Amino acid sequence: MSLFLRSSLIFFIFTNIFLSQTDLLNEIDFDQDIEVSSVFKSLKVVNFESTKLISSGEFAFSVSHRFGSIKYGFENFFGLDDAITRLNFIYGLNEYSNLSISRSSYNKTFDVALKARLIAQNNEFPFTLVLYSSLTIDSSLDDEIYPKMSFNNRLGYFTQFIISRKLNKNLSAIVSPSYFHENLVVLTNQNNSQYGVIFGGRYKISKRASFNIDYGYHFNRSSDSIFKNPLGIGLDIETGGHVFQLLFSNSQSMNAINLMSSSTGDWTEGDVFFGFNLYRTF
Amino acid sequence: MGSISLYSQQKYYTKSGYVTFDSRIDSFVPIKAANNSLSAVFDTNNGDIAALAFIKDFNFKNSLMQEHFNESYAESDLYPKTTFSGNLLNYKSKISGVYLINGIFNFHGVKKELDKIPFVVEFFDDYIKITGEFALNISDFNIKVPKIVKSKIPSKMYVYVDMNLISN
Repeated sequence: MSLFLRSSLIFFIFTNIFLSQTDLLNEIDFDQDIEVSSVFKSLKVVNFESTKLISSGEFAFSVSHRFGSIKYGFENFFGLDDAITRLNFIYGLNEYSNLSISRSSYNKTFDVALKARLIAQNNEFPFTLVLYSSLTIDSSLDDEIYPKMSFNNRLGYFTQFIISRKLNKNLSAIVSPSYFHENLVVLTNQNNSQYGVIFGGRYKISKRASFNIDYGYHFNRSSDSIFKNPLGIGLDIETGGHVFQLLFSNSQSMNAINLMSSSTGDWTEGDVFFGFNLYRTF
Repeated sequence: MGSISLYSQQKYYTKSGYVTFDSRIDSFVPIKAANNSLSAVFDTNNGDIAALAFIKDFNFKNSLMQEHFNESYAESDLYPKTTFSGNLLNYKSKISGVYLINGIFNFHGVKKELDKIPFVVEFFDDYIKITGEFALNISDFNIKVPKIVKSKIPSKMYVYVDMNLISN
């Protein structure tokens, strides 16, 4: 047998072994219809809810602070003297819904919220759709100042659809049409029922950090209102079990309804608040 | 060459094999995950074996860790699958025992040759049970570990496989 024949035979046997193994792998190979993951890493974009939920049976604890306005400079140590704190407990009822209870020192507000994912972005469907609905109770209103007040006046309702899309590996965006109703409004010209839309997104600047922004546009704010639309700009930093969000916002409140209805700060005047959100899952 | 197709009925399959990886280092948050949907095929005729698992099917106890694993380490959007294809050395048809396996392991887009890994292969009436374990060096797979967490990421991962294959 010539050398050529022999070597080609050896080559043939080898490729055959190789091919048979590859064939074997091909036999079990398939493509999965995979849900798009990590559209957002944290439950909030900056101030407003993202489409992220925690998993079934998981428990998460979130601490958020908004310090005082930085515009007073050293006088209040750039706001660090006057912190507002919100503690939020979140529980994963199942793979599709979270229940949360929070207390914020802004207006001594309690809040109960349900967040439910209706559909998740995957290979075939381009968006994630989440319903978020919360009930807030303002416990700061004093009966002595408002003698005719009933418990009902303390309540506020906020409902929104959060639509998110992960556009590419680094960029995700949300649009959230929102409706909210305050049983008690400060200004007489302000309609109790209010409408808004929230735009937001994250852009990953490294594997573990992203630049985040969200903005809430109010459709029917009364013309004499001193309140502003809320704009938050932040940086997400991820570690193993935590996400830290460092941010600047023109709102000191952290509940969606207060953010939309009564943000007082003004970016153009440097009247903004430094703050952070951090959460840990258990 | 034709023999392969002739004996194709000698192939055993599973879609629900069990595979885990574990750093085996005690820490506050242990790095380990399990996957119950390992696909595999074994050719009883010549001892060829192939297996495939989706990275996203590896479940961690902490779901945030699972996200980090998928997004930052395994990059499962880019490399959704991990595969193995190999051959049992000195394979004797339908004889149970410990066999050494040579093959190619593919993870994170890197192909790594594995040499003489002992696997237990047991033949039963209606199924074949294959179990085994091997260690992988994380540094072999082109995974970028940031300096800040380097001390927390172990250098080795132990992969354990347990599957029952049935004839189709």
